[in-house]
Amino acid sequence: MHGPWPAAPRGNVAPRLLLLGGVALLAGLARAADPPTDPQLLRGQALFTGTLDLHGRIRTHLVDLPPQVVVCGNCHAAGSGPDVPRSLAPRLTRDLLIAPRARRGGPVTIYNVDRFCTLLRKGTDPAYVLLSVEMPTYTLDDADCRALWQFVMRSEHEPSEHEPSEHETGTR
Amino acid sequence: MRQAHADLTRRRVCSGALAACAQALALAAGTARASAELVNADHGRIDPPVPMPDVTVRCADGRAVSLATLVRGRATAVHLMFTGCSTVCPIQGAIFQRVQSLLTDQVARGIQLLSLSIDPLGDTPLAMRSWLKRFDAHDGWIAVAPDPGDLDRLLELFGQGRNAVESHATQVNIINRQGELVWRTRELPSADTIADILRKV
Repeated sequence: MHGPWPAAPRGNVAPRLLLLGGVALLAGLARAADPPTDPQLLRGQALFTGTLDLHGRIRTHLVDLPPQVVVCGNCHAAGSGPDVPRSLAPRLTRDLLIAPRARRGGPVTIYNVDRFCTLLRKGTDPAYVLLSVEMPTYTLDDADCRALWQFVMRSEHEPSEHEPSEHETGTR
Repeated sequence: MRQAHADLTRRRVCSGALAACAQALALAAGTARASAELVNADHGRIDPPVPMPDVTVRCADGRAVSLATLVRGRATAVHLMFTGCSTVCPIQGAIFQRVQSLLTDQVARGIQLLSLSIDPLGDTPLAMRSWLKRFDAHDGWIAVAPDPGDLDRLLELFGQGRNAVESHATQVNIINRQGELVWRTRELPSADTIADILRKV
């Protein structure tokens, strides 16, 4: 009697599974290595890397700093991209942002795009805990903020040799 | 017998008290030593003022000069940096750049900005000249690197003992015209704050 499903393949299925696994792996690698093509992603990448200017200041200051010193990528690595040498700033990944975490022993929180934008604009995390003073606050519109969020959420987290960060250890 | 027991108890109490006193004195001495080495825990007035240690630094122009000589007779703001730093040091550099734009009469007033490298092996005179050029530094802003053997001493004086380059102190230290450390700001002070303090020293 035949059910609604195709008949199971006969013979040894291991080689086919290996082949499928290999194709999936290559597709995954290609995805991770591919530069973004979506316009919003491209804009997020340009803002992150400083190709496009961001306007930010230290939150205790009265004036903005030059755009080139408040580039996200000066301190933060993103996704599986290269580490920033001698930086303790957290690597920004999907996993870091949406996994439940606590800063300095505060309430456990997760980020969404609105909370991410609040952090960038006001320097507070979703539990209203202040970030360290070295993290600038930014003046940016919703479109740019969402583009940045989309960019940092794009890449899967991959382990690196980066030391545990402020965000991960909750020490600051 | 009862009298002998009482004497023994008294002696034990006294020796215990003496030991406690000795421990307290040792602790107090240790605390005094620690505070003398670290020069205030956080920020604000340094009291009493601390003279510059007898160390020689290498300037961006290649000269080797005594740090005490370099700062004597000027009001000096010192920050810690290294030229290979992409994270907080560029912000520190931009802040000093703005201080120079605020203090247009800086040189005439005997005011000086000093970038002190915490990477004496990496920060050659050429690297320090590039650092100054990057922030369009003009007269009155100098960069120096200590001898590696003096680095810990200077980190204790200016950086609250934080000796990891990744998380070095970002406060600005103010030295008076007598060459004494007299003030330490909070982390990453604004240019306006630094300029205000320098005008008053």
